Amino acid sequence: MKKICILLFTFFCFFSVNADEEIINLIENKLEEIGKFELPQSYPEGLTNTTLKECEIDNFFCIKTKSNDEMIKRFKRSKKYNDRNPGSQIYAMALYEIYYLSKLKDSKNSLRIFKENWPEKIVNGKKISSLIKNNETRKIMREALGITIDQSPEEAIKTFWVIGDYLQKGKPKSIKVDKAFKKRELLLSEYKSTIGFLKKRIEKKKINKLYEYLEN
Amino acid sequence: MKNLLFQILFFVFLLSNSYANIDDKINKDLNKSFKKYEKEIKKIQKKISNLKKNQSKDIQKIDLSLQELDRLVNFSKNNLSLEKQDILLDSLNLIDLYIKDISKLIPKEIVRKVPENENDSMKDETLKTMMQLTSFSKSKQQKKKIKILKSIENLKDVGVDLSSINESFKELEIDNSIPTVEEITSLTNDKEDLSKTSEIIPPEYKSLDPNMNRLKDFATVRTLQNYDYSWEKNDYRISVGRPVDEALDVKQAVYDEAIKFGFSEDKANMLASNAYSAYYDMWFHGSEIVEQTRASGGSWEESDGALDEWLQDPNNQFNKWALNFYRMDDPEDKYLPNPEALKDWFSKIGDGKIETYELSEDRLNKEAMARTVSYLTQDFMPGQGEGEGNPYSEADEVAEIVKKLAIDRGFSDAEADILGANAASTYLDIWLDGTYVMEKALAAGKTYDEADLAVEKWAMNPNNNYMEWFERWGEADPEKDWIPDESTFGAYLDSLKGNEILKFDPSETRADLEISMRVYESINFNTDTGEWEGDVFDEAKKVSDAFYERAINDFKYSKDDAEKIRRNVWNNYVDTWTEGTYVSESVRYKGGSWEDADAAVEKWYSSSKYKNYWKQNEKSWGIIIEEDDEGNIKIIYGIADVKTIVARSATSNVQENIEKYSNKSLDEIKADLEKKYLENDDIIDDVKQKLIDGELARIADHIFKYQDFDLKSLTEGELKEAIAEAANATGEAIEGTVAGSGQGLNPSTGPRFGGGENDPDAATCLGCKYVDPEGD
Repeated sequence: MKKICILLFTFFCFFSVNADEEIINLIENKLEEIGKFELPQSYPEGLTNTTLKECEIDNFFCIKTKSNDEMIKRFKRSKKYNDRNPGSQIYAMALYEIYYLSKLKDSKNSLRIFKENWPEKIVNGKKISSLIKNNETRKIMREALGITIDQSPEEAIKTFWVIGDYLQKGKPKSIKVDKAFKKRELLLSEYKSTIGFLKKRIEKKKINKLYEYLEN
Repeated sequence: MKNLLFQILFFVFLLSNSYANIDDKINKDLNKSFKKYEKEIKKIQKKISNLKKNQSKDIQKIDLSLQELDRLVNFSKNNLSLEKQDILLDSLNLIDLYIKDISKLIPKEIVRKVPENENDSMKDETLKTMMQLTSFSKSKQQKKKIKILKSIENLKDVGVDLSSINESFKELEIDNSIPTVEEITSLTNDKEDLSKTSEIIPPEYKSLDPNMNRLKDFATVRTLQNYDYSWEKNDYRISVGRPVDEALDVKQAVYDEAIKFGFSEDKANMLASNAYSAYYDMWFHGSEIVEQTRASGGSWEESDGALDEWLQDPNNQFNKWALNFYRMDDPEDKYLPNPEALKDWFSKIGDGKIETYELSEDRLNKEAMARTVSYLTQDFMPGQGEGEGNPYSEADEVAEIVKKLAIDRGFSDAEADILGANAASTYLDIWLDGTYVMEKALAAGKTYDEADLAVEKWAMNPNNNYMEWFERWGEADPEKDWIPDESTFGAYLDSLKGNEILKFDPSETRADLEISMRVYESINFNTDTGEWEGDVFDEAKKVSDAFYERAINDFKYSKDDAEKIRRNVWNNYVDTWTEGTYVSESVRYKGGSWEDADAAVEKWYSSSKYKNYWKQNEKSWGIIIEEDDEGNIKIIYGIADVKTIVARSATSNVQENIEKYSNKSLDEIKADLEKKYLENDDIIDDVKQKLIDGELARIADHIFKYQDFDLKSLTEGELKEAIAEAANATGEAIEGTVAGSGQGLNPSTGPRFGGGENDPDAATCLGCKYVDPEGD
């Protein structure tokens, strides 16, 4: 009977690993990409002189609180504002790096426990899923501007800031645009969103499966 | 133990069930997304159709291009299923790209003007970052284009051709992001390091030798255009024209020189007569050589070269005659013989016997056929001279009389029709063969009487296929010698009674001649322009030019090689047309319908050598030859099969060199290079110096470029794209973090589905007041 049990167990174990080998490998990769929390030693001057002016360099709580507030504010800005201030969103990307670091710091224990139990058991799945999501976001932002995931957060923040500064050069000038163009612009934007929506759904199918797997 | 087993089974059931649930959920979500997409697209399409017309050209362009997109968008709508998600994604990639292109027509409401001094004061750090970004952006664009190319190819495989959309965009003057051929050629494989670019391996052109029979036929047709067959001299049809005049001049010159040389009059006449015939034949065949080269697309210079080669070939029988008439060192290019050359020839003859020149049988056959065709294609006048009537009208008369005779003898109408047609067809066969014999005699310079005798001899030959028919025809009518005798032909008809009456095929020679005449009806050689004319030649030019342009502009072929390709394409286009038209006309000749003819051409083409030739070359060269509804040839440029070799790119060298040398003067760099190369004993000194000079020039160039870095073009070009993408990424990214709070926090650049609905997967909380950056 024991033999039957062992056989059954082996068969089922084999079955379970095989069934989701792809996801397991994917999670392994994503865990590697998450990185480790290390306190940044420097920030761009433009940041320390404005958003972080009240924070000490080693007070990460202050840094994260201020930069998160600023990041949300910038991400919330209207299209018109972003058109007038093309650097704003790029500054927000720099701040996102700090946001991610704070997230990483906060999830340090959850991550450790998850790794200790993985792959036999999923512990803190939702938190890890959220962390992976945030890192995916960070990757997209970095990749868009030629910053690799291997580069340190300091380097990334600096690069984002330099690009932001560059885009902020000069003064914005408004030009009157015919209403008919505006109508079409809106329509095109709607079109693009609809296409982009479905594109993402298909492209992200695999990673969405990963999130589902970790969260359920 | 039982409990344990149950537990294991339960665990496994849960596990497998949960995996299945995940898949189910993801698929359900995707299906929901499909529905949502369909609904949204329907709304957008309605909005597009409701757009009010506007006078602005750019707005009209936007509206028209959006309508053009409908086909592709409808394709995506028809492929909204889990099984087709790959091709669906390909179509979405393309639609996305087209919309992006259309969006470029929308003017910007806000622009930023950067004063010159602001750019000048830019820090090195900024400059370096922006330059790296530009370089990265270029690589990224390449990667994107490869993705787009793959989508285009996948769509093409399922029958979605984007060429019409691309053409329309081109017509509307909308910048199209579909990679151009030049861009395609510079694309690297996405698996490769993007800091490297590639060396182009142009697509191979699969050459196919031209159809020699067609070239020869064209050449003969052209050669025969130099002759005319008329009543001008001696009251019978002789060949006249430049070659005849020249041959007569040669004859006279040879006669005069022979007399001067001291030959007797008889001998001089004999030599002159031989010279006439030899020159005539030589001119004919020489002209064929020239025209053959021209028919294959060669220039006049090439034709002259081919003629010289032919004349100097010792195996060519006319080489001897050329040496008899001319001196190779004679700078003058005249047709009249060189007196010194003639003297040499006469000296060699001396007292020897002179053989009569044997006329070229090949020339006689061709000229005889040309004279026959010339006769057939004349405008026959009513009551034209005796024996000079229209054979087709005569054949019609034969058919009518025979039909009447047959009906009188009790044959059915249908049988009488066939009997009449058979008699008419046989009459034409006899007429053609007999006329050919007569024209051959005339082409050989014989008189009408001699020609008539030749025909008589042919008719009396027991091996003649028509002996029985001559008997059936009986005594010729003195007025109309083509009409059969009632009694003899009636007896023949009587002998057929009770037998099945079958229709005769025309003789092979006549069928071939008449079909060829139909093929040649639509082409013509313009002697003024020296070019072949007709739709097929215009089309051949268009197609061959497309290959030439692509060879030169896109694949950097040398002019010579590109010209060879052009010529080969031209020949194969004409060959395909000529052979295909012959097939079509053969079917029509036998009474087939146009549909039958098209089917026959299709069948012929699918097993012909041309199918592979065009298929391979069109595919690898990205040239699609299409016929529009009006039968006009349309060239569509597609994606070429360009292979690449990865090599270190200029961009990566720039970076390397800047880092290595930017702080050094050119002299210092030179010293470094010398040191580097002088230490290498495997290189000879000359090569070392060339390497040093070359590398130094390149480095200097790069440093110069770096110093001259144009920031304005950077903002206007690739950087803009990168920033736009980053902004899109932001929108995408914050869906899972800060968006969807119900506070209208949709990112300005990301998808807009209303507050909190951006991404069903995003951790959103509808109606939340507090923005949770984690999105949990």
